[in-house]
Amino acid sequence: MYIYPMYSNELIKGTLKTIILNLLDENGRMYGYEITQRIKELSKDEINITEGSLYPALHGLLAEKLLTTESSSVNGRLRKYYKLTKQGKSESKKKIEEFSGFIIIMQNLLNLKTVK
Amino acid sequence: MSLNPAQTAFIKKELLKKGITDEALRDDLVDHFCCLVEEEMEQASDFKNAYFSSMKKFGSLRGLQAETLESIESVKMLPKIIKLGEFFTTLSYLILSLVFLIMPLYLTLSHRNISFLLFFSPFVILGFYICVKRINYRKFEIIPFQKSLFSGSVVH
Repeated sequence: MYIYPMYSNELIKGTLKTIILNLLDENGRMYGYEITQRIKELSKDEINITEGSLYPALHGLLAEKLLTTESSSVNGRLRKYYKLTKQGKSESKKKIEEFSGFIIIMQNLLNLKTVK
Repeated sequence: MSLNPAQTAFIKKELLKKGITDEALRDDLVDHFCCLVEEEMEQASDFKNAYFSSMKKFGSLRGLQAETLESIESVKMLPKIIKLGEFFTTLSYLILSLVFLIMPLYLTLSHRNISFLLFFSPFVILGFYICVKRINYRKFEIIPFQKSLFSGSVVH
């Protein structure tokens, strides 16, 4: 079990990269544990991303050259901070635009009321 | 509460024992796991209990590593497939253009009524030239268009 509790894995896995890119766009640089805690906090404990889904996504984004890392020593251990590359910044905007378009379509498709 | 170097080294060793062999991933997981243990220890737990409690929260470590490597590989595979596809398309054109160069020449010698086919020869020759210049014969790759046509050597 990677992501819990109330939304299905498939639903969140499809948007995890968008969430990560947006968080890094807003916060500059973040380390893995910090990302999970920020998502938990922003979703009011509704979405708990575990390392099992976070690191495949982060390393995938690194391979796509959308992220880069900076390392520093914290409490005697190595801490890797992830931040957006130039390509990552434009991809982040693109993904958010794509997702907001998708939400509008889903609202119409499922006849959902607009959340205020 | 921060972990001491011995506790961090213990966690690093344990992750290696549990199959996290990829160094980049292990660096991430050591820090992540240490953060979890530190959080547990804040709630008046000792290192041993905090360690076991945090380990329970981690899913399958081998599965995690496999999924991470798979995610990296899938990103790397796509350009490779595109490059390979482009290579074989160019190579096919090279072979076909050779056939279409020789055929009209041969046929027009025996059948004068199709001599108009010779009109296309310059285009075929041009295509043939572009294809020859665009293949990197050592790496089985296609050289970018501008670099291939305006640089001196064919093999890089």
